[in-house]
Amino acid sequence: VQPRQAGADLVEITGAKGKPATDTYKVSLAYRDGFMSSGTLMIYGDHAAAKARSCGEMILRRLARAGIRPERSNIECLGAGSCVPIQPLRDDVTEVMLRVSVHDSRRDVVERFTKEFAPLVTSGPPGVTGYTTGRAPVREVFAYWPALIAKNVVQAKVEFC
Amino acid sequence: MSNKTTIRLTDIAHGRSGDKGNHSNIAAIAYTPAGFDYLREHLTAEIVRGYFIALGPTRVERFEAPKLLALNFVLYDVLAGGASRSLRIDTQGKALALALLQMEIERPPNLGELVRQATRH
Repeated sequence: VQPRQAGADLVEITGAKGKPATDTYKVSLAYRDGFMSSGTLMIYGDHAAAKARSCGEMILRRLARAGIRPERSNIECLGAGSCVPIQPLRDDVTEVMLRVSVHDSRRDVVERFTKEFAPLVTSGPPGVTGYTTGRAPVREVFAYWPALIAKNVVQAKVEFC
Repeated sequence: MSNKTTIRLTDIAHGRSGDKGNHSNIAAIAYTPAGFDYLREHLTAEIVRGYFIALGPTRVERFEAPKLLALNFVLYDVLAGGASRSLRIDTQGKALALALLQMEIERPPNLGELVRQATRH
């Protein structure tokens, strides 16, 4: 399209093209998809990123030893490059926020995971802190499925209330 | 400006990114028409795909919006499940545009025409 100043407070738009309406509607579906939780700890000291990574693995290994293996998990070293994980982690930072997250269809697996953070503060390496908000909450996941549906199977109805 | 042989994209463009399901939308917007010509020639879908390869894009599409001096990239399946089920801190890929702008590029010979022009306040 071509906008043109046609006068004061007046913009003319030309060259717009359109297409006929499609035979589908967009539907935003949500479905139950298990449970998730994320916990964070502040890791301080030399090689904080490697140390944080190691602490995260410790949490997951301790769980595995107790027979708990979450379907999905992720360890992030925030402040060392994990926000956009496309580069190796930076080794020149002295503090890193460790964030460990899990996702599982079983609520009790995720609950059990949330109990592994406090022990890392009390009986883990020095320089582990920031356990200020207590045990991380478990949340139910409503996953998103954008889809198309044929208009001819939808009966449109408008209600005023 | 220094005499380095490389610059970063952020010297000639700004950007913004977001999500749709598990796909990421990344816009790179040039500051000047010459900057847009540069982006159009050098910032190919293939380059962007390579830059974000660690996120596992299954496909990268590029769209041009010349009137906005902008390129828009759609990176498929890079959000680790998308906003509601991603385990990453940046569930919606809001940081991806700024990550793209960190890309080092060869210093263009006409750099003066590409950088942001001073604006009157």
